[in-house]
Amino acid sequence: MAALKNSIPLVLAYLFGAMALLGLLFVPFIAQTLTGWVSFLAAVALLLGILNLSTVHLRRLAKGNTYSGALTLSLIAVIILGITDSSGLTEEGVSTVFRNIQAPLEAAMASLLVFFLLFSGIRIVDRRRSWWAVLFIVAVILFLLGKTPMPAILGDIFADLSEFLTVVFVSAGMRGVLIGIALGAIAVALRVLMGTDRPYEK
Amino acid sequence: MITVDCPNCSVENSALSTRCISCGSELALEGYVRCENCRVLTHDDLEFCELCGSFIASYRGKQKSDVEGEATSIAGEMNGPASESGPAGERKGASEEKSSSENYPPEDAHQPEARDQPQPLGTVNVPDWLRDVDAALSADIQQGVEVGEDGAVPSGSGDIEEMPIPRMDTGDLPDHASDSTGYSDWLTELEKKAEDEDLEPPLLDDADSPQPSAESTEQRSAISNEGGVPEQSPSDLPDPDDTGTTRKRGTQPLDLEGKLLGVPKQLAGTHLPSWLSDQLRRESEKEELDEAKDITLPEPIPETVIRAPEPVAEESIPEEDDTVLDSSFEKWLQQLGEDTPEPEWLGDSAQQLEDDLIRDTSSIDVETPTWLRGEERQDADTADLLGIEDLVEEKGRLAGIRGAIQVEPAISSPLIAVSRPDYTVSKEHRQQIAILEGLIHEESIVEERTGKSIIDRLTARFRLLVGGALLIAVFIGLLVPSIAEAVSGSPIRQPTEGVFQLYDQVRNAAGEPVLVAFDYTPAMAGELNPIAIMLLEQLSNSDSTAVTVSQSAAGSEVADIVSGDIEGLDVQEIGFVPGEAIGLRRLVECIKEVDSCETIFGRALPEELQQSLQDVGLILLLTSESDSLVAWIEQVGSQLENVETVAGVTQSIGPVTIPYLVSGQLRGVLDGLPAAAAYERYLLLSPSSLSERASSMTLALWLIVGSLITSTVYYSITSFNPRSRH
Repeated sequence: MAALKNSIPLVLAYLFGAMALLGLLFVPFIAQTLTGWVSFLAAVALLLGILNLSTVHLRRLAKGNTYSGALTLSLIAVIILGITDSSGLTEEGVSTVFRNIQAPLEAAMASLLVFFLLFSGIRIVDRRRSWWAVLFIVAVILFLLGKTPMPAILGDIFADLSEFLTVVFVSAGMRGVLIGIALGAIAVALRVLMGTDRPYEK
Repeated sequence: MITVDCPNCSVENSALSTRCISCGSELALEGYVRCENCRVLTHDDLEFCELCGSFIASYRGKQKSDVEGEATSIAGEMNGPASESGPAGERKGASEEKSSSENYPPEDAHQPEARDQPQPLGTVNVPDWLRDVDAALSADIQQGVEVGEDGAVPSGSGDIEEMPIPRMDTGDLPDHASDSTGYSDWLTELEKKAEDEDLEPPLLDDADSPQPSAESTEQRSAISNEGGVPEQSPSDLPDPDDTGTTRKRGTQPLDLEGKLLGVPKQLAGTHLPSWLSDQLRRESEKEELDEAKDITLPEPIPETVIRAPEPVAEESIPEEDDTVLDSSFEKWLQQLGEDTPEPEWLGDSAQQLEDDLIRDTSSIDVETPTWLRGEERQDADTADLLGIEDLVEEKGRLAGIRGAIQVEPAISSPLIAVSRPDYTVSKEHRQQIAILEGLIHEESIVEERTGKSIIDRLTARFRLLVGGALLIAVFIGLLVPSIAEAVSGSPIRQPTEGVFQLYDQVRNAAGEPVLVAFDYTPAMAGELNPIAIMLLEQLSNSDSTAVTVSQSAAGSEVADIVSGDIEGLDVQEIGFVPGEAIGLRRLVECIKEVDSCETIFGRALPEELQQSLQDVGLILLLTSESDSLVAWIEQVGSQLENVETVAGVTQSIGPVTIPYLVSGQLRGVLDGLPAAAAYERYLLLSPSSLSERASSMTLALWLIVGSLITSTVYYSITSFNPRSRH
């Protein structure tokens, strides 16, 4: 029974992976069908995630966590607004909440990022006194200076330097990273197809 | 083991026996005394019994032998050769002990002709000492006769000459038919005399203990009805003072305690003369037989030891001092092995068979567990096993046994710890270890550095200072944008090549549907919304249709907000596309085969939308994440050969677009606010708020750069100062 329990997911994973691959190359209809199923499953997974989130925070609310209560309350309110918007009872209720509450809050959170980055940059040399930290700071300063308009005395030295660094070093690094990501994705896919890696058993 | 030859038939008997196993005659051995405890014949010169070790009075033994010798001669004249009794030392008192099987009464004991020879007392030559018995004993004896039937011996009057006849109840009585009429008077006299005497109750065997004359019919019937061996126990012993009670033979044991006082030493021993006990027994048996001839008497039980020795504590038992019985038993075993002839069917091959067995067993590869081995904890092979088997244990409870394996050393020795298996360390483990070490190292450095410098002590104030300065710079740049221009000139730089390409692509897509992807959240709306608005306005000006789509639910909402603010823009919504890359794949398939794509992601596509998807001329990607950028380019851009892809991204992922821009997979890029400001000023030729934002950003960047340079210089200098170190 245990062997059957372990072998069925493996067989299904291999079967559908092979079908998608073959369908991509030879029979597009199969690939299209499977991709349609995946999109549907992704939407279902999103719904399950919302339910799980609400369940977790309801339990915390029962234990007295006020933040979980605020989250649960807001979740229920937006759902109700969406239902009323679709039914015509309200007009752009969800958009109103999004525009007036969510958008400003997210923007505020993002704006704090510059302060944290600045403080980290100021103390990086103090925390990690190494050549790599110094090199990092120097690179940051150069790129910032290259993006910042300089007085005419300094001219476009920093701009040209930053441009050079971007085109030569940065692009090379990014190409390497992108190729590595692609190769890694291929390797993971092959491991899943061969059954070596079983993320569905976690 | 001492053996005794029967004087009658010369058969060898065990010293434990009191009667011959062949003829039933009393066993006697001059110079030997029977032990009172275990009934083994022992030299009268010895103080202790050879078997059980109990004390034996030598003078008592001699007296017994003398008395018994006379009694033997008398009994022999009275009863004939078949009824010869042994020495008086064989007499026993009230018995709850059983004799050994060696004393099993002979088969012919039940034959009346051998025993049933009643002879009146008057016809026997009575010794002088008996004649000299005081007549005062007659009454006691007479009474004692009655008591003797049930075994109760009346207490004597204190006269040492009085000799009550002990009466024993036994269960194993030979079936003797004797006429004790002639002895009745004489016996009663003796019993009365010794009524008040306190003597140690003699030990009697079941076979030769004196049988009380069963005068009462009730007693006889009770005895006969019982049939079996009467059980006797110390608690059943009758009260010595209870002289008048009659007991049923076989139901209550005889209590001789204090009954033999006053009896002459010759008779006052612990044992009655055998001839006397025999006579008593014969009388009673004869009467029983007369009355119960048709009753089948039970089979006589083997003679057992009357009084079992007290159990000895284990501590008193010497470990290396085996009892005589063990050594004798061992000798008996050895003798048995030697005397036992080999089976005839083996013949001459017995020895050969034995040799073969030894050889076969020795060739077997036996591995004794290490925990069973002795001090030498080594793997044992066959040779070692043979060597162990040849060793004879010399001490301890296993003395004399071959092949004893010492277990205690193995058990008491400490267990050998099993080494843990070697664990393999993979590269991932090493990486994790390095990361953890780095974190620990950083934490330790942080702890060390806290509070060591001015800046460290003013950490909170310093942060507030820097944050405040940054805000001030931003506000000043928004309020007074000319300050930045006064210092550094125009904060807006010339557009790059990517900006120009994007402008060209958007201009070429005029009048065509443009697929606009809003893959960013409100968090990045501050940087991407101006770009989105600028480009959508351009599309609107060029009469292009914007088909909005998003891979996130928030992005679709942002799309609604942004597109709703553009006047005159024709917007068609696809909405939320789940599944990331798979969802984009599905979108591409729908774009390619638009004729069969009536629904997508569970939503029905209107005809206008289907037409727009069929006529898509440009893909405009607005994103703040590199994954989304890569997915759109690889899954959508690579599949639609005739459709170009341009992107408006944040300045942070600008370098990610360079490879795609160089390879031609992207046809234009607007990376960040400065590029958008340049696009607006130089390409669109329309002033907007982007210039003001650029000025405030310039001042903020100056502040940030200055802070970084200052802190780097400060900490670099302090690192060379020993005082700042700890």
